[in-house]
Amino acid sequence: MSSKAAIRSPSRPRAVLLACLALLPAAGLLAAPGSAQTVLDAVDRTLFLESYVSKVTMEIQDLSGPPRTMTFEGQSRKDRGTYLEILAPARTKGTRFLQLEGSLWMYNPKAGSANALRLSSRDAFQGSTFSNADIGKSQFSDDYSAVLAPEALLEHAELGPVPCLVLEARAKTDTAAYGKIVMWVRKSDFMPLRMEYYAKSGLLFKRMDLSRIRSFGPLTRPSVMRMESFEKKGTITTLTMESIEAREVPLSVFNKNYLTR
Amino acid sequence: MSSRNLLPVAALALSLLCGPLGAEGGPVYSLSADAQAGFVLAGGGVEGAFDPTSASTALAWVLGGDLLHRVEAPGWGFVLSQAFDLAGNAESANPSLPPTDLLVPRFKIYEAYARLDLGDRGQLFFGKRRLGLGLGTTFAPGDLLDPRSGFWDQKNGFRGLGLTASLGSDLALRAALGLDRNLEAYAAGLRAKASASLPAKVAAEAAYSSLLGQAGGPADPRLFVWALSADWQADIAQLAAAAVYAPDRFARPSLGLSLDLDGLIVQAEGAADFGADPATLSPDLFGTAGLRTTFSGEADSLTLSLDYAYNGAAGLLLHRHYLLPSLMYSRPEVLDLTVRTLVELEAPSALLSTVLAFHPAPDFDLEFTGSFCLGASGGEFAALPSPPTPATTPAATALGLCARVHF
Repeated sequence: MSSKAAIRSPSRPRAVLLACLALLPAAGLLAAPGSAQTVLDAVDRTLFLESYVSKVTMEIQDLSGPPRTMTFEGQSRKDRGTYLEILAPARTKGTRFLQLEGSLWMYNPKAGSANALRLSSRDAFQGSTFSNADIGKSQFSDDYSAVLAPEALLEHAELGPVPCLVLEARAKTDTAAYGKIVMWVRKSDFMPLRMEYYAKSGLLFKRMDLSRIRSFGPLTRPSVMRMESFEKKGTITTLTMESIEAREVPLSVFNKNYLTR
Repeated sequence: MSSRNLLPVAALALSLLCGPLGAEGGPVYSLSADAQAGFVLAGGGVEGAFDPTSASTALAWVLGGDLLHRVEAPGWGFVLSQAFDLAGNAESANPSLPPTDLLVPRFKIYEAYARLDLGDRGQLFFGKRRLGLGLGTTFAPGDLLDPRSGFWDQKNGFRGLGLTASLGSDLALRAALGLDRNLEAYAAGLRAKASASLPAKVAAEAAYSSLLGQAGGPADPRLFVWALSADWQADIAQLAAAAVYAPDRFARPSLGLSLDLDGLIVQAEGAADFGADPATLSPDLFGTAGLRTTFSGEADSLTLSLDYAYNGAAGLLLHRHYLLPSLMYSRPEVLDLTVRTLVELEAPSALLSTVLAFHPAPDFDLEFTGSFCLGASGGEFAALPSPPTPATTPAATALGLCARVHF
């Protein structure tokens, strides 16, 4: 779909805004202004660096009892995958995960087996509302093509009412984890604030709210991602980005030899 | 070298290598540890049912833990994985057994190795290390370098050298040289020199000859075990090829395939053991085939798996046909239940292992364990293959309770 066809009757303010955004070199918006793909690319750039290390805390709240917290250290490259290692709690400390295209591997050095265990990408990651496929996601534009829906005013819990572009990202590959993702992206800077995840059957089953926008060096992005499951009622997972740093991660990290080193 | 001798060396190495811990770009040390205390009761041999009050039922205390030390630095790393046991010899209900040496620490080293990174493409390993060849989720039929030490027990590791090469994300190559038998020969020679009345050289040669079948020394290449493996993956498929070779003893190539069919993991692996004669036309065959899937509920998950194993020659397993059903139920931070069964199909008997772990507090577990032999008294699993206590009679049932703290 062409970019012009994706936007129906653009309003004057929007056209001005998009023209201005196109001139923002810091945003790196090199594609045609107003293009749905441009916005999706901007979301990718906001959420994912080309190559980075990060530290993330995951809090899982479900019906089984009090919230439980895990802390991970991660290394990611857009063109390769994601490596994670659990830092806390002590029960699972040292467990490692390697997400490569199409597969996720888990290795627990304390388990005694020398082989990494293959996990299915569709299963929940450590009992959270994130799937194994979500964990290694390094950009949406690989698996989804976007169209723009009518703009909306998002009632954001932290920011109040925020004018947003609404992006419908539809799966373009069989390996995409979701049938469709609807994204609310702040008009002023293309900052993603909400995502709704639909199954391939069309069922809405997860929603992620992004908040606490902060700077990590040159990168400004939401630091808190709260994912609520409509499929598993009462299950909410909150990811808090403690740190993220652009760094050239060695290619050898993204190989099973590194997992069992 | 015994475990006790290795420990001070390893501790010194750790302290020297780490230097200013956490310094920018310097070595970083981490420790992951568990401590556990409890007991195991074992009894109920082929003669009768399990009775905790019977004189033949033995009690073993569990008091110990596991330590995993790790040093990571740019370009190199060091790992020391060890278990310690403070329970000493098990205390038995039978008063005629020798006294215990409770609280005398005993150490077992699973892994103690150094790693050197070879640029961004490979790694070199020295020391004792676990290595998995092939798919091997239950049994890796091609793995003779570091085979499982029990049906569900952890691997013991092998002593020697390892080399890995990483070709992109899809291809992982590994090579290893096992020196366990060389080190055993060296130790046998030392013992012979120290104890024999013969001249030291003659005594050592006799010891080597006894170990090798003919004259030789600890560096005899016939004691080497060589292994090569390639692990390739593309999208939903994983292919694992391996070969293990020991001169005059065995040559065993293997091939395995794993597929992720929308959440159903299907895998199969086969190996052919050509024994001492690689040209033989009738190798012993081994194989496994199975599937595994996970169902996720609102706050829990259930993983079911079923594997078939074909055992072409007696070894760890005595017969040919086995089934391995298993179940894992998890309610995170509440409880975990694991039930594993090894069923021998020819003279039906089975080994059933259960672990029920409650998590009443963060990093604290209360664990109930049970091992049961089921089936005919003449079957392969009429008694527990690795009794957890020094029972005087074979035990067919073992029940345990253990409290575990994670650090």
